[in-house]
Amino acid sequence: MADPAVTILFEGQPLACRPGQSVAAALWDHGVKVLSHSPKYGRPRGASCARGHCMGCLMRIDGVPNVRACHTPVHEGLRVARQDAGAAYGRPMQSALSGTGHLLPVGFYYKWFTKPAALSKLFMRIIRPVTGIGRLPDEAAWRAAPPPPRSRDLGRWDTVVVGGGAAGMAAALAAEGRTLLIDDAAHGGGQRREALDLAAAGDGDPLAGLHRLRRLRALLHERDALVAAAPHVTRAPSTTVVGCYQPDMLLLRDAAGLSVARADRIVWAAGALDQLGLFDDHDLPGILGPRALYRLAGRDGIDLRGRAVVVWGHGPDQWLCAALLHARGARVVLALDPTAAPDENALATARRLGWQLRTGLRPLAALGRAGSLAALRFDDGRNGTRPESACEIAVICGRGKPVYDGAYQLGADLVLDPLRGGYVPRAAGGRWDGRTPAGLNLTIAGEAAGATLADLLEEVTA
Amino acid sequence: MSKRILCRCEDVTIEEFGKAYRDGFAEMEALKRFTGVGTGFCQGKGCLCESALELARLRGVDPAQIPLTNIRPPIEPLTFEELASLDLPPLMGELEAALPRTDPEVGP
Repeated sequence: MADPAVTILFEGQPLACRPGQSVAAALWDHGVKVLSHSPKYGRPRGASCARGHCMGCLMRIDGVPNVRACHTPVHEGLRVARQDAGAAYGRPMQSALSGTGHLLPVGFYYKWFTKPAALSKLFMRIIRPVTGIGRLPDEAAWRAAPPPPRSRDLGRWDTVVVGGGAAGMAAALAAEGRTLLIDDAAHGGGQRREALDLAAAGDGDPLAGLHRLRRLRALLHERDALVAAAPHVTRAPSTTVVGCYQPDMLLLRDAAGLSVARADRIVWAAGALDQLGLFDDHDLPGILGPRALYRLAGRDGIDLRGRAVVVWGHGPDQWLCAALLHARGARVVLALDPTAAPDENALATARRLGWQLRTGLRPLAALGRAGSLAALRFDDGRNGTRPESACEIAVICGRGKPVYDGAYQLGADLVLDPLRGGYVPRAAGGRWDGRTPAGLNLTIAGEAAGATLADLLEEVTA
Repeated sequence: MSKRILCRCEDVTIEEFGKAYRDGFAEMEALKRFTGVGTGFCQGKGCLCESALELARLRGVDPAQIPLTNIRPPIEPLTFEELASLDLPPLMGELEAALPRTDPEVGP
């Protein structure tokens, strides 16, 4: 880590970190991966999605509880603490619950002893310190913070595109009239562009034999340049959708606060979320999906030199993760699932760069030490053998889960289809293009419609 | 103790979900309310699909038969301060226009 310029205080202890890093990444670089404990069983949790929705990184930052450490940049003197740090009898009680908690119903802590009032009060006094998430913001911090700016009205657009990836950029370029392109990333070109650039710059040119990834990189750069030059497209970077309201309104948030936009046509191209599968202890800190890795190894630049990382799964994201990790100096173990069908060039790349290659595996369990990942145990399809691979990080590259919430709120008809990753448009062909019952022209495209990166690459090649 | 967690926010294991199903909660809406899946901080981003697939498996039906439960805004965590920052007059105008003019509670 060159030129540490910022010092933060983690539970009173000063830690040097790089400016621009998120709090979660800064802690990771100092070996702190356990950022919180789960509410009922007290299970260790950490930055898992790095996208602000998994809850694993909720911490008390500058006196405010429940702040997402993966979304908060470091600043000089920032104070960060685990929310259960100093909880009266947190750890012993949590380990007791871990063994017996299955006997207690979900939500027992707010469902039990609600009457009479005196008993309820006593129960709350006993139960609250266990989870350690109940302390209000420090009054001084709360009073000193400036109020958020008033919301803005962005007006009516001909088209609003949600999502700045390959599909969103294509939709914005093809749109007619004034178009607003909403992207939760700060840079253009989609979340994989930065990862591809970093991988391409790695020692030994990791992308040299990975032809599909090189095509993807060229495509993302080309579309990004076209979007930047398109006079009809306005980019809204670092902007997230907070809610969608029928028939045609979006509530947005960026660094300047909340805003409202309306559109005659909305394209939902919000991509997909990492899907980690349901093996034993898959919530251990250190287990990531490809999208989380792109953020932590790309934007946040966590130190991966010499770390053992297992990359399991199939498809282009698995190879991009391996190439990115290699470029960052990690020791890559490439664990292919039984459906993976890499071409000869890809396998030659793996051999050339010294990646350990294992085939025909499915994850069975995560094994932990001191609260975070130490190894991954596999099923190799043979009876009785359960091979293990020691690793600090495991990247699970399964089928992405289409982001459906905004499309649902706008009125799309969605259906659960595991072959397409989750809830996707019911329309045949995996794309919704039509009018919602409330009268909005809505298109659902790209990974949000159930397409995969492999589908996109085939489309480009064809 | 090793566990397979279906819903991280509410710490629901796959066994607890299955037990709730066997106890008679046979629809996603009921399972959501009883077990807490989909009601936590992430509002189902990490668990609703997974839970619906598990329910399809338990029932032995095509997953297409498990409808999505209602997902209300906000889909990103908001503070009350942020909510209060919303300049509502333009929206309130629309809401007022949508109200029946003769409603005695609202007045003309």
